[in-house]
Amino acid sequence: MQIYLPIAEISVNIFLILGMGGAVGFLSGVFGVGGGFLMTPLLIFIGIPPAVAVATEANQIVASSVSGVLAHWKRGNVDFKMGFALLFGGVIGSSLGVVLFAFLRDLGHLDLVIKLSYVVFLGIIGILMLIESINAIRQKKNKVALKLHTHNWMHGLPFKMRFRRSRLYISALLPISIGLLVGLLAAIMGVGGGFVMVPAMIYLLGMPTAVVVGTSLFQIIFVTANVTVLQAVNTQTVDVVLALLLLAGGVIGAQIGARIGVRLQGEQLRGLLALMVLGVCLKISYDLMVTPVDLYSIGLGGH
Amino acid sequence: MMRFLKPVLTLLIFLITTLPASGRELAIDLTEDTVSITANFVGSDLILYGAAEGGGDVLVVVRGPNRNETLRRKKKSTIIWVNDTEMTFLDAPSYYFLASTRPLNEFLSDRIARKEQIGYPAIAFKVKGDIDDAAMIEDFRKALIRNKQKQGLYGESPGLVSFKGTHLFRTRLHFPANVPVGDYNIDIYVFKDGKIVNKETTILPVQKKGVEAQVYNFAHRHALSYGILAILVAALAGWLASVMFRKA
Repeated sequence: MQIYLPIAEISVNIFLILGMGGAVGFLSGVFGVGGGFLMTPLLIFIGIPPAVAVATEANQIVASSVSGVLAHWKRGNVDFKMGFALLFGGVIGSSLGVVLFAFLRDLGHLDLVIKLSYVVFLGIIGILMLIESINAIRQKKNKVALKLHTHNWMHGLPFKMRFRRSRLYISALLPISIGLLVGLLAAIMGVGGGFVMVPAMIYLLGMPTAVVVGTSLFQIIFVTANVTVLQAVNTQTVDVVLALLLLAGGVIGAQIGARIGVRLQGEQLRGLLALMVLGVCLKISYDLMVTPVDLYSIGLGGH
Repeated sequence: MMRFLKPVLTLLIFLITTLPASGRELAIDLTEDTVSITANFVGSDLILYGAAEGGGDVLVVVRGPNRNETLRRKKKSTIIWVNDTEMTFLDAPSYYFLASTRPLNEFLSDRIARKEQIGYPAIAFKVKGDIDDAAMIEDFRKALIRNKQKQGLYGESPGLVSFKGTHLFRTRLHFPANVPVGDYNIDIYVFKDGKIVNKETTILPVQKKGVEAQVYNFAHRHALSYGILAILVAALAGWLASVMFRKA
């Protein structure tokens, strides 16, 4: 059954979109990641214009983050003060990102920047995760107690604030700048940014792992909501019909995935996720390097 | 196909009873007077049919609304391919389709082709800015046509117009799912001995209808409300999902 998407202006198979939503939702349920980094490239592969894919995915992430954050909130695993600090940076970063997005589109380099950002970030994150999970599997027998965080130059920064839930006393500049960077990525790559945010919160800020996911989801809701509204106003590329279809598949997939995820072992799970991230990274790099069938292409935004 | 038969028959009766005895008359009609893009739109096929008294060669040219098309050429930069040179063609037809009874060179002179902009080589593409390199313009022009053909928006079908008897002719017009919206201009020519003996023009609107049109217009006219509504819908859906599965 085909459905015509009013903003993307193409006709797609409704079951393909539901299935993609379900599959990515399943993986995000199993691995506990947002899945934007898989969905946006998939949408582009099936022929959705990249600008529409990025903006629409931001809209879908609002929904999946809301449904995720509620469970964490109930268990008290959201550090709101930290969330607002991250959000402050996130709103600035994502607003800059949307402006940059429109600017790159007019220059004709948007596709390239989206793809290069994917290659760089997926490459780095994938390799780090793979190394970490291999080490974790090896060291499982002789576990060493890790130090929560070390003191370094970051603790000399001004505007120190107390974050009670996270048991931290750090400069507000740290979460604000992390939020800013992730917000920028969210706007350009069509992701929530959890895959950058979570490691940054653990390794850079030294937050306890229990509150990391809930707090990250909390701020992702508002950053992606900001991206959605700004894209809707500036580029008119948010396709609600596409977002709703992805959502319907994603919600069901995520619930099934979450149930299976708890039965699998953490280290192996992370190893698998790392391989998947690297797979997407390699596919995009290959496409950038292989000689195009036609060197000429009709530009975006040529209306 | 049955649905096309009735109007064709009606027209036939109409033509037989009303055609004047002399003169070279041309009458045409379409099986549908608009192309409506609705939620289940996968493209549309229309039949253009007509009667040309005295027969001849029939040529049908369909042009979509003009718009500026920007083309970019990729260049290898160390190891990756990046967009390099770009060229914008002003007011290029967004859709161009041509159907005729015979190959064009058998009845169409270059002079008429150029004057009426019939066939790819005759379409007048205006280049934006001051670019003098004729070879480069030609490369980009060919690339534009090639890319448009790949998208199914440009096409030539010599032989697609067929005659039933000596007066009646028909042809199929195809509009793919990615067809741009706007008013389409359809020119129908009748040629005899290399000259245009008759010409008719009709307008075919291609427009979004129903929910598709409402969503599109809302997104463009009330962008801020649309954006806010989009996040509210998403938030509500997320909340519903968590409630539903908690109880399950």
